Amino acid sequence: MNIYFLVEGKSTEKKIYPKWLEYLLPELIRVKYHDQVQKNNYYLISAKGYPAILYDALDNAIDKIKETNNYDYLEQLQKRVQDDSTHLETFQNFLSFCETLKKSMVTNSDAQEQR
Amino acid sequence: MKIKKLEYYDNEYQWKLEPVDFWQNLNLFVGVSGVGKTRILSAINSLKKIANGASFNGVRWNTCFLSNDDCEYHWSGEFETKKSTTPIDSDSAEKEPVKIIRETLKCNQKTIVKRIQEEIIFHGQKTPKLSPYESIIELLKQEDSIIPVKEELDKIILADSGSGFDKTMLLPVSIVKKHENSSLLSLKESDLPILIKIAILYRIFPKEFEKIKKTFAIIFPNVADIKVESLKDEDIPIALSQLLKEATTVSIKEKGVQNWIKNISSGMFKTLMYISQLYLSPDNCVILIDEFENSLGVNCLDSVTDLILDNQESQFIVTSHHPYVINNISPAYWKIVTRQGSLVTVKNAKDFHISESRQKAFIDLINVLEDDEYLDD
Repeated sequence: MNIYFLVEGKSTEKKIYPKWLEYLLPELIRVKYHDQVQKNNYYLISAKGYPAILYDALDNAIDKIKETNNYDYLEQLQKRVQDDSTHLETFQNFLSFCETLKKSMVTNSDAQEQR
Repeated sequence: MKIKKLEYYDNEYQWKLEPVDFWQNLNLFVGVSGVGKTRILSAINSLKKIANGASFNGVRWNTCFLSNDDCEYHWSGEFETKKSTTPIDSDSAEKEPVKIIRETLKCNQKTIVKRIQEEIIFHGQKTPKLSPYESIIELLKQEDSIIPVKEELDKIILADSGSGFDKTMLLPVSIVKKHENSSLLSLKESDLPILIKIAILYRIFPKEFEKIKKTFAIIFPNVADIKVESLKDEDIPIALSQLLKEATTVSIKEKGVQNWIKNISSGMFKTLMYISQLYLSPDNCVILIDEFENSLGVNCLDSVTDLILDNQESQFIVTSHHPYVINNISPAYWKIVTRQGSLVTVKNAKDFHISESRQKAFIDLINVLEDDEYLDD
């Protein structure tokens, strides 16, 4: 699993996140450049504040993620849910909440159309 | 002239620039503040000074450049290092000259001149004893094989950063007379201040002046016309009338405004000077621009950058640390400057995994420079 972290903060997040990750996900190893991720790596970059995070850092991240084509966090997560759903209860709940929300939106718009 | 490579060391200040390769057209030197970008420009500029006889205590240089007719020159040398004897609080700006202890000039790998201590061998022949304080290019500048070298090195131009532009300047009739019958090329190659050059261009080469006006109008769409003329009597206080008789100044006419505006804004004026400088520099020169963004408003940067990229004949060496400039110039032109102590290294964007087409690459640059300190490959 490879993760691309984009943080907003100018300095604190860049210092704290890698330290947290050392304990939370010790198997995840940081790389210096975005295109060095292979297996269980992460890359972390700071947008250096707002509004750069919206106007510059997102374009920049999309560009790099597409170019690298090896960041697979979501796919890995979906796969894990399929393989073993028991320990991901919160995520399951979140997914079913999204499903419910989607259904209720569809029902509402159908009702409006009928009126 | 195109500089291909430069290596520079200043023993007095212990400042070392590792060999830098230059791009043929635009080189954008980027890096954090205080890393030595401006110092690199002044090192390049000092090559021209050395070629004109200046001496720099403890400086060692090695450069390779291409002349207009594609000859590859290698020029290297070293000044002795003298311990500074002038007290810090001394008013005397004059420095004692220092001797050159070795110097070599090669053209297409063939040695033209070699100097070791006081002995100079020129085309295989020992020369009579010459000044040890001046470079061989200055000493032998009348020689056929040296003339083109000096001409090339004189094409290094440090662009005015904008602070030194005067809005009004005296334009003696004699200068106008002198240029009346000469070519545009000689005007470009003259060392006149830029405002005087424009004033002459305005009077003698109106078609060329139109080109500057056109570019200016792209940046400032409200401007309908520009004139560069002498001040009229009614504009000058009587007490100064004799003094300012030949003064020239720039006026603009804006769309929808009837009168000419004599006191143009300093932003507009700087931009006009900048564009003019790009148009009126000699052909095939090396233009050094420090802190590109300082002299120009954001609305001008794109047009001026296009002007630079269109001018394939000249080489531009520009420094900047402004996000707008850096985001809008492809990393293909970047030269990333880093410094460890007094050792300055210049690398390409590719060396930091920043591709040529990267979007909004300023963010990559600042992170990479920060990470460089504590993350290893």
